[in-house]
Amino acid sequence: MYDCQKTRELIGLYLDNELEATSTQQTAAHLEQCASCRREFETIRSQNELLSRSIKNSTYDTQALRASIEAATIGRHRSHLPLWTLERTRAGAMAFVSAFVIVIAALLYLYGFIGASGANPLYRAAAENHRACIADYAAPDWVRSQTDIDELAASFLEQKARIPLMIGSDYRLTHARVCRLNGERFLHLIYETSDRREASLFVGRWSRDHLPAGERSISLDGHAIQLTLASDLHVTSTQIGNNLLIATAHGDGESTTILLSAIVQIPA
Amino acid sequence: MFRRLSRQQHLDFETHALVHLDALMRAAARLCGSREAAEDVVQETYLQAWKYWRTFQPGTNCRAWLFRILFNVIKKRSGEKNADVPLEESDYENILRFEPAGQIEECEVLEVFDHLTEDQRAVLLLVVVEEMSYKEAAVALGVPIGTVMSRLSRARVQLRRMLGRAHPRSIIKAVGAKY
Repeated sequence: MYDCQKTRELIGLYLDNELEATSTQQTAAHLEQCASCRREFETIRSQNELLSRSIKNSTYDTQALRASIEAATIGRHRSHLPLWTLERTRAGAMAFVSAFVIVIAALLYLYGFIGASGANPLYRAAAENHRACIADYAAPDWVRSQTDIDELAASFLEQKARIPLMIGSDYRLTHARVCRLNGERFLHLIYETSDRREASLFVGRWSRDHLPAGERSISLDGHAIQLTLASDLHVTSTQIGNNLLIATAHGDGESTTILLSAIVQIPA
Repeated sequence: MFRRLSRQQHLDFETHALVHLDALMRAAARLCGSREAAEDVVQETYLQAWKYWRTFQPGTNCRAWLFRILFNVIKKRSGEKNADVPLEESDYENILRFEPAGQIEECEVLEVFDHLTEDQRAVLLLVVVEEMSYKEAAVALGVPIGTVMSRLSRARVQLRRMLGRAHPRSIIKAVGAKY
């Protein structure tokens, strides 16, 4: 049987069930006959129980958080469709726009792209515009050089802006022009991969009032979108009907925020 | 930019990873100090877990893996701010000076707990609250088991010292023990 010194060295491990059988028996035997060590044991055990109970009693409603996580991860699984993950884009690869800007992007995977009934009007307009533009590459109003795109963006945003040259690791900016979605003007940027998949980014000017600095949620066409911070990017996603919206935002001080939204339109 | 996961991998994510959301949230809230910050780090934890989900091996310890990601996220963020500076003796006195005499309430324990170092809080959360084995906690913390044991021992001593100074023997009363 252990003495008091040995027992007190092992009380923590004994409480945590981390002792081997022999040591457990010897510690228990000592505690059985030593009131002083038993008090020590009870003190630590009580402290553990109090701490555990205190923390477990602090319950949090995680329903909204769970929904947000599910939408960003397995949410798409429930549509029984090909599943995709938009990986977090590094801030360095993101555009920095010095004014308050909202960017709505339609990422339309070529084979999965069809119009969807009941889709959010803005999403549907973005999707239709994307489809139309893909078939209209030869139009004269497209600008294709980096310099021309920068100039067009600065003109559209009425200030100097850096437009993202890449989305993720494989979508590269190829051309841009100004278009209208639901009567509102947007800068339409098209990105292509080496295997000819296209993605559209629709950049629109947005009132600063729509997303005050520090605001954690935004509302886009009446749909609340929960934002969460992932390193220096806010990342969120939500599934609305058959549209999956993935949004990232970069907060820079008090006034500059970029929203980069990717809309994956899921065939009905 | 995109990657494709199998249907089974998605089911596994829900079955093995999302079930730990409440535990992660509970730990994050205590380590981050606010619900908002906790939600941020938990969501980032799951996004990172999702990103590397294809590397997850069924049968391995998903909970410890998730906690490890969580701690890394928190450490990265806290590193971007100020280092976690342990309190000095005088700080403990200042904390405890205003506590009423008598039985320790849960909120008081939490207040004292929140003043432990991040490492101490993390190991207590894992072993005492989540009832992880030392081995599992070691995986979650990314440290050897010996480090888990030493941190845990110091954390318990520190917690007891801080609680006991203001409320001698009252810890026991709080949980209804005989002594």
